[in-house]
Amino acid sequence: MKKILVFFISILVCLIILDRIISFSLDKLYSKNFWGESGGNINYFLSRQETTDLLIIGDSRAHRHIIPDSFSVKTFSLCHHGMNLIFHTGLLHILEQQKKLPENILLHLEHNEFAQPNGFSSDNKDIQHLRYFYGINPYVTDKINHLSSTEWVLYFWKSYRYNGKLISLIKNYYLSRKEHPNHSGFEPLLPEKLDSFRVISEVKQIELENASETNLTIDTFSIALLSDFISVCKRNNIKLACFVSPYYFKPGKKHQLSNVFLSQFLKEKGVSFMDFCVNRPSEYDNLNLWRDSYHLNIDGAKILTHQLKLQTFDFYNSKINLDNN
Amino acid sequence: MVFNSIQYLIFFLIIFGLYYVIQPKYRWVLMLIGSYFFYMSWKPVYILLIIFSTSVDYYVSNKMYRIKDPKLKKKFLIGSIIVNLSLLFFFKYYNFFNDSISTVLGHFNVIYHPIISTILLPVGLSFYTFQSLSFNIDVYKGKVIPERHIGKFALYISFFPQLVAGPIERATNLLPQIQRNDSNLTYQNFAAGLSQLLFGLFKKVVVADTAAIYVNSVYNNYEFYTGSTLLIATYIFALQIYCDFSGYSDMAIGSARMLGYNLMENFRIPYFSKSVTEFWRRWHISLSSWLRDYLYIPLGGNRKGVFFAIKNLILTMLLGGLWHGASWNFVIWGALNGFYLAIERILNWNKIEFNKNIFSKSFYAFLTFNLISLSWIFFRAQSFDQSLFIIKEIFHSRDFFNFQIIDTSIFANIIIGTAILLLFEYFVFRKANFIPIVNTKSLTWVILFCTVMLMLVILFGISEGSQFIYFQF
Repeated sequence: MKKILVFFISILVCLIILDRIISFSLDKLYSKNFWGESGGNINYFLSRQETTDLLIIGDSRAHRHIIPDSFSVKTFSLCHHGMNLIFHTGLLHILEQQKKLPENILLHLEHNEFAQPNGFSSDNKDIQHLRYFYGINPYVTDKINHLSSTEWVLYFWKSYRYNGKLISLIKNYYLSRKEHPNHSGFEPLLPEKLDSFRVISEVKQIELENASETNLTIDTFSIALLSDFISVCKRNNIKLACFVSPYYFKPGKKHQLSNVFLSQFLKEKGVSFMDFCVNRPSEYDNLNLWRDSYHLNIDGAKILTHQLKLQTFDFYNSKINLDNN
Repeated sequence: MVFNSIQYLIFFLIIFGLYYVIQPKYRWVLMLIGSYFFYMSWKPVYILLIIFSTSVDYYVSNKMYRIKDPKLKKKFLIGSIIVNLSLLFFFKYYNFFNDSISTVLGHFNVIYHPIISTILLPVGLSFYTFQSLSFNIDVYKGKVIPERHIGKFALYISFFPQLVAGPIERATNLLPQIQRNDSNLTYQNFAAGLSQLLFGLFKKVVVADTAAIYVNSVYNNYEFYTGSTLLIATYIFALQIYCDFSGYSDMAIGSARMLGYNLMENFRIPYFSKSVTEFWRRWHISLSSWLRDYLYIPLGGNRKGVFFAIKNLILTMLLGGLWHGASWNFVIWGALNGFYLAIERILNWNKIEFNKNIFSKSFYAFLTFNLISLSWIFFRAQSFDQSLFIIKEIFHSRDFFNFQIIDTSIFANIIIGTAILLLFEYFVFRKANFIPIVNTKSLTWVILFCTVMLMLVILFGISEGSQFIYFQF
């Protein structure tokens, strides 16, 4: 038994030493990484010297739909594909901690996070994509610890903060060394040959699924996250507006329910809300504007950005120049 | 509770600690309680099935041993087979059977609406049913003396490391180890067991789970991908299913070995096989040897000439396919493999000398890998139509070379994981098992191996605690 114990402890000691060496080296790499969604974009935003007047936060739909350079004020799109509200709220807490908050925020919301079938709740696992800030940012640390009672065991290993990101981290580090980024965070979707086919083949199925959803309720977890987001903005005097992008398919019951709730909830909180999904303008019926049923291509993005600018004009007062397209 | 979870780590540490302090003659009690607890972590009520199956087989095996009349003995065996297979049929094949009847009757304009069962398939049912079936058949044939101690017999049926996905153990191997009261907790067993467990964990969470992300994204949207992408996704699925299942087996064998039990080997680097016949000697060995001993040979094996041998091969593989799941795709998968084996039998493939040079060996290994991968399409696809679509796209794609990586990071992780896997499998585990490796390599080598495996899991592992593919069978 003594030999077994010595063997076991030796592995643990070796692992702790190796873990600390690797995490130290990766921390160094990470701090010089300014490309990509595995932390580089956040790093790039945090490292920017110039102030940001307007920050766009959201998922891939916000990332592909809103063109920051169309606004006359200094605008940056800090959007992350596939991420939901817990990620965006965590990101806001990081910006607050790092004193990098903008003057205005345009937050993109998704109806399916707010209206869920009874008994279901929004996925909180997206906070793990901010795992680099575990132990650095209290909000992120707390939310990750709440994922499961054993999460701290994984995070005892410092290298775990780079789990699954090692290759992209090394790749983006070399990209950053070659070329320092200089962009506003927008990446357009260019029209492709199969786009129309993709949209048409998807839309019927999606509408059928939407129509079959019953027992929908408003998700309290998402409300709490949105309230938290709003309170961070309020205590830092940030002007906040929320919006929902259009879909190609007809909005279902959950979109309607969420729209009614969000309109009322955000009105009570004094936050502007624009819903291009439920109140979809007719321009978006044009199939040529879409990459798939959820994402507009660059032509669609130009239209949505323009409409958003029109609707947020009063909100941003004179800061947005409508003549600048 | 899956092996790749923190819950299992805690569970195993408790079992290991108690196992060490408990007197050897009472260890079976701890192992039995642990095994039942392990199984109940999925759906507690299903433990009743194991208890029922154990009670029936315990009674039948002891009764058969005492009975002198061969006819009565046979009746008891048939009774036990019917009970075991009825459980399997009810939980696993009921809906499939009714759907198939409904489809056939539909062709004759007869409307048949069977009651659809919504009962979940108990985890590992096919595995422990086959294990208890083989026990009773061996007792009937006089190969095994039935266990008189019901507790130890219950442990043989429910031994937690191999309960839910094998290896399907034979009584001749596992039962004597359970009966034995002396301690086998040695450094060699612990080190070899831990090394194998960690290598299995690496296979599962680094290779299989990462590969699953790519395979799922392609197979779930197969209409949008071209031939080359579908082909690569199929190759990656071949890798995924190997790492998923052999990873599970490694963790099972490793866990058992740390406690001093030796389970049978279940995989022997199957993708290095130079024929399909050789592949089936190296893939899921505990099932393929079970099918050989309890189905193929009783059917007549190759004793009645080539024609009957081929018929028996195809029938065995068809039922082997059906064992995997209640779907026609699994039947086709089994039939296709049976067809390969039949062709090889006709061509006397197993007598071809492969060891001429590295090029001929590589050629035959590549050919075998492609044949097996083709059959995996039926295994992975959701329907027969989907399988045909994918095969058609691979062979007749207009835009074949338009390959899509989808996510660079995931794809790079798959390549790195595969490279490390091949490196260890080819240079370390091809010729020696974990026990000889621990005995021949230095302590430092073993410590470094375990440390590197753990570090790879920390850096590249998917930590969701995902289920193993074979749990559904």
